[in-house]
Amino acid sequence: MWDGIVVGGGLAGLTAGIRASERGKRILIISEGVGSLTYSSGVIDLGEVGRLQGLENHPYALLGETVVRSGLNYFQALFPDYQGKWGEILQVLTPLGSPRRAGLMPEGLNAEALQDARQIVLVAPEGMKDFFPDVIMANLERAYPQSVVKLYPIRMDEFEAWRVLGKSVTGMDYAKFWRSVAGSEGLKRVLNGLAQDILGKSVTPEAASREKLVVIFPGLVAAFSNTLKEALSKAPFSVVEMTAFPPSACGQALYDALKQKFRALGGELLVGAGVRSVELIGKTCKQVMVKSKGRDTAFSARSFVLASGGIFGGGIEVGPGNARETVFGLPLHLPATWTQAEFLGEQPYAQMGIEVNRELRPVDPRSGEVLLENVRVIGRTLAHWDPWVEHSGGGVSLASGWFAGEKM
Amino acid sequence: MIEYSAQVVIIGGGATGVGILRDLSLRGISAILLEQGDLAQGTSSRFHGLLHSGARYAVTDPVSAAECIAENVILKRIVPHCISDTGGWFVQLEEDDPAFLALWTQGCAKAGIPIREIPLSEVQAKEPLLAKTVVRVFEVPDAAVDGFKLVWANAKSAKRHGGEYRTYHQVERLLREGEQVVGAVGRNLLTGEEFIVHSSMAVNAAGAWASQVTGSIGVSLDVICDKGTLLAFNQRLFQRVINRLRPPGDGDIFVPHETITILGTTSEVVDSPLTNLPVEEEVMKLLKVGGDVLPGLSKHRIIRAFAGVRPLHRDDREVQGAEEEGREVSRTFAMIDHEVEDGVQGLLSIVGGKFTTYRLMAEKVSDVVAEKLGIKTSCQTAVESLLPEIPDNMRKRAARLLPWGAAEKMLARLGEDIEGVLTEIERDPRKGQMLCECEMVSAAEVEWVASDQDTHHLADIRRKTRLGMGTCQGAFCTYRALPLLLQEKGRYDPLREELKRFLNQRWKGIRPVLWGQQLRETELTRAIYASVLHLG
Amino acid sequence: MSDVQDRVTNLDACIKCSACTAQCPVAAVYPLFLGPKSVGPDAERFRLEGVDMDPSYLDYCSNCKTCEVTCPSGVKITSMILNARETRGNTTSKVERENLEHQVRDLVLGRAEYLGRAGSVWSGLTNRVLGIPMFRGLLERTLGISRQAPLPAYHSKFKGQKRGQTMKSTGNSLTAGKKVVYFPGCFVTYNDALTGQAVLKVLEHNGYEVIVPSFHCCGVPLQANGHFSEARDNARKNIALMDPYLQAKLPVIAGCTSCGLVLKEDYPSMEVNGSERIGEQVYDLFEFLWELHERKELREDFREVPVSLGYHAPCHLKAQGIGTPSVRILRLIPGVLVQELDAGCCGLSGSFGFKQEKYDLAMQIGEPLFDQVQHSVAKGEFQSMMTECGGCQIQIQHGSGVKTEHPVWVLMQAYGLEVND
Repeated sequence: MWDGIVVGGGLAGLTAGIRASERGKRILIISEGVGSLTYSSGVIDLGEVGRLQGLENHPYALLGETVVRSGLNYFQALFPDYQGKWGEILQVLTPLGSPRRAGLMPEGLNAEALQDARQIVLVAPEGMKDFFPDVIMANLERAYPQSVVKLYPIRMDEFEAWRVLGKSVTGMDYAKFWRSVAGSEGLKRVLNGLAQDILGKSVTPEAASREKLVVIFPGLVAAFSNTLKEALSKAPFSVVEMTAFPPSACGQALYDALKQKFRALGGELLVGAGVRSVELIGKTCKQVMVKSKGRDTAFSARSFVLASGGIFGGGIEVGPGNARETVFGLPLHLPATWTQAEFLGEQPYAQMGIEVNRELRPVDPRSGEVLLENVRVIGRTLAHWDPWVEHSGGGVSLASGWFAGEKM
Repeated sequence: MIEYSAQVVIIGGGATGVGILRDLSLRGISAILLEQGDLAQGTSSRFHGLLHSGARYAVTDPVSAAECIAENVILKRIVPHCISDTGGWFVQLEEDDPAFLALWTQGCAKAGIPIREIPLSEVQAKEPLLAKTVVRVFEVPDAAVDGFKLVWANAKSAKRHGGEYRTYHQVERLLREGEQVVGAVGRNLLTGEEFIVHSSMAVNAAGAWASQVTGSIGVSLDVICDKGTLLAFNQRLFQRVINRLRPPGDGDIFVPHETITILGTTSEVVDSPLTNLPVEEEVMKLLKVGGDVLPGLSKHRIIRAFAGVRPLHRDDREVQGAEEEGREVSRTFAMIDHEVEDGVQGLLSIVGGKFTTYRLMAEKVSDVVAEKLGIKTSCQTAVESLLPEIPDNMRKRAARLLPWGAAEKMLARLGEDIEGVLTEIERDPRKGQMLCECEMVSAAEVEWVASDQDTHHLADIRRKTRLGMGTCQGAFCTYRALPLLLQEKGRYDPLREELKRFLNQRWKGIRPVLWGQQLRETELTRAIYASVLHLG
Repeated sequence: MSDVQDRVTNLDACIKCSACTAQCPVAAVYPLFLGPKSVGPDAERFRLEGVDMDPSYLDYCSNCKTCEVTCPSGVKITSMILNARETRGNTTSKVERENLEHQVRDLVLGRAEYLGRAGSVWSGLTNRVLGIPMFRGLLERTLGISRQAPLPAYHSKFKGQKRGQTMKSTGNSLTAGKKVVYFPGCFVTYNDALTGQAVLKVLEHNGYEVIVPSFHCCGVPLQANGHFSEARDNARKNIALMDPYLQAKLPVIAGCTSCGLVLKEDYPSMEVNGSERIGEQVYDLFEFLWELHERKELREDFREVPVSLGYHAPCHLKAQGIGTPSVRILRLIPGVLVQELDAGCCGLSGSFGFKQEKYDLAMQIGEPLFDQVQHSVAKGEFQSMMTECGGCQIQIQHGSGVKTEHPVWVLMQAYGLEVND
């Protein structure tokens, strides 16, 4: 018997699990595969919280500003690497090299230094997959017209085999490499070489600041690594990291950090098997049956959190003319219209999800009646929001996850 | 104003148009073809890709049946690289009227279509997904044909023989002097520039748009626009073409096409060739009918729906050998000599017909054109092969540079052009990696096609390479194509617009089938482009 | 039919997200391996089309199943790759590819950091392989080393107390009393008889009579090396040996996580008597003990064991989808501190790392894990390592120099039990 079982191991589920474990609860997280964090940029997007709170039924409206702020504060207390303040708008670079707004993010991603750079150097790791220096340079030139943009290609011997074979090295692999012992030494060499090549003899922070030199370093994630952060702090210029095309090293680093935190608190994370069915008595869930190999395994708990994701995460399955929530079979809010023609605009279907009350208990969309008394619903499974067009994915997940963890 | 001159101007870059261009070029007649979009952008790529054996028409349309089998044999000989000779089955299910069988076998015999019964004991092993309710199975020489490849193969061959084509050149009106058509004027849709073509003859092969072409000089042409919707499934569900052994109906042909399966086709008369969006009702209808042949069909992943508009001709006076039965409009073609019909000289229209008979249609038109121009050379297209000659060492080189079957796939798409791509991969081995992982299209191939002077949009690259036509429907490859477009700066719209245009085009086909795994894929795509790349 | 349907559904589920390739331990260190997405679901669509594809591209899948555990869509990627290997036969690599491989191997071997750890690659390999008799049969096929060669066996062969005579002595009363069947696996049988004895002791301590029929190799190494029909033969023989006990509803306990996985995942599809029951009745050792705990039937009269341990979850335990029951059990013991590591595959993956050409890759794959183990031990976070899989034990100990044992030994200490060597 567990104190709490969280179905879903993404940002919301892990946050709930960590908070509850920290409060002394024995928590099991069950996750079908790796959560969606590896596709995310690793940035916590909040969206326009004020505006979204004004939308009826939006998760931000249900949770209220205090909870949203508590969730963010909690996350930043867990991971001091994440910068950003309530109400402050930071900027990061997209994988295409355009600045965009962001909520919380690892310090290294902050693109603020580029604002008044006079010289921008884009490091181009040899053969890095899904990394297009020409496109990035063009976008940087457009975004920072006051600055000269230079390309600085680097080649690491460790990836020589890849080069000979004509194979790309993924950004994940580069990021992993920099984190190794050999990699952090390599990084120091690269930074030194760059300083000498760009600044010539006067390799001093003063010279760099005079030149207003900022270096952009894709495929590098310094967050959660003291060695790398130290190496960067010693460089005589500011280094700005970039978000990456998925699967992304920064998203992965956040995922790893969350997992580690959860396990260190004694939580158990079961990845690779989903929930097949649940056992309910009245309005109480008793146990979940997990699709283990050979036969299902029963896990029972006092309370449950549904963080199984939306359509993408597999928490909601849609067939021709039907949709279902996959774990508890809860009724869904289904928008009347389904799509509109502009692909990247608002898509009504994305508002599909589970309706909840202020305690995040699932309710009947028509009557408002609470359907399960020991279950909370968090993250993308919730109705009435769309993380992609609102850019609110991180905020809603953290706030609802923290709330569920607090109450479990 | 750009001026062109040729003996013949051809309007329409579908299979028929390029077939005529090649036929005339082989006869030594100078011709220029004008297409308002990309070649094969219309109906020639928006069909099920079935190379008919004629068996489908054996009972209802014997003229078509006979034409089909004759052309089927010729095309397998002259364009084998555009055809996957899968063979086809006609399956009779328990609920099908057994009386049809006798009529059908007679019809096939009469048209000269070889059929062979497959013992039921072999059926399950060969096509395990086929319904258990199948009672009789007959094999016919149906095959799958690639509309894009075939159209381009014709265009390139024509070009080698002096033929010219211009894409994104929209003809606004024919030029008429008295009772004689002397050319056409129009606009280059990419540059906005006007053009004029001086010619002795004009051939209207504009398909569903044919009546607009003649209408520009006040000549009417009765073309029925018949919209047909099709579904593309994520994988190869059958190894051969599967037809229902019963009178032709909607949604009863499955055609395996490279990695996917196409199910078609609905039929609905629409008022404009622009009405070519598939809608959900049609999808449901297809799934219902197709589900008889492949039980549980609606559970299979559909990557997109698409529709084409078939131009059917109703005026039976000019239909060659028309034998219309009941309400059926014959699927054979009609050539209209407007000199005979309307007293306008130097203008021929060709409408109706099927992709399978494109060559025959081109031959008939070209015969008349040649006669009118007083040229005696005869048609060569039934014998002159379109198969590119790839030296053995080039094949080996390709196999060494590209993994798996990617080399064969590229050879079939690019033919002799593969040389340039291979050289580029040798120069930069990383370009041998797959840019489109779903359909195994290398970066070097995409780059090659992107730099081709006939390529103007991402969608043009797609038609020539299959980029974005696989499982992910552009989720990953759209992004990966960006640097190539940037390299060719000037020929493409700004990246953001080009990218949005491409995603919106893909979206059109996904919207009516938005459920299951393709909906998940869509959410991933939105996450990437709207959130990670922030392009919303 | 259902098999075909399953394959179609399985392939349709892939949304091309690349999470599998991003997590693949082999693809991360070996550029010639295109990764699970590429050789699995991507290639599958072309295989269905009948495109001629060089099957040697499949060779570098180590069968660790990390991709399957990772996949958010539940795609059975490893099975897809194994099926493709089986259908295409065990074709040898094409000449040009071999050249490439040598080229790459040389480059990889040129990286001193990996070699330093192992001492000398080839002697390290030889010592290890020769020390492990379970691989003799394998060696015979892969390296041409005869099974009969006088290789040193470090331990006497494991024999369960009831081994060989169980049918006679207990045949009539299978349902009476508390009985379980133990599937020791080759590692225990040939290399680590003591751990086998420990498992018996722990189960007996909990009141169980343990039956150990003369099982054959579960088939995992055979399957991984392309001997599919032999693997199936073994499966059938093993199921036949289990069948009477399965009928009597006895649990079958697998001590090795790879054996446990194949018994649970593949044996049910064998379509012989007993295969329909096997999925229901096979347990991982600690899964079984945890169930006893939940039913309040586990003896928990533990002595304090003041030890801090690092725990590595074997890939094939993760693939079973039962969580980490050994960690749960050990945390019930007073004094025991367990730190769960999350550094991925150890690299050995059954027999993958024992192959001559894959040894160095296996070491590279395991490097993050070895680093973490050494680092944590140096910082005093824990003293030794613990993992259920025998292969992982050897590899971690070999790669990190830190003592690595089966968790059953902690339980032995807690119960105050000992085995006689």
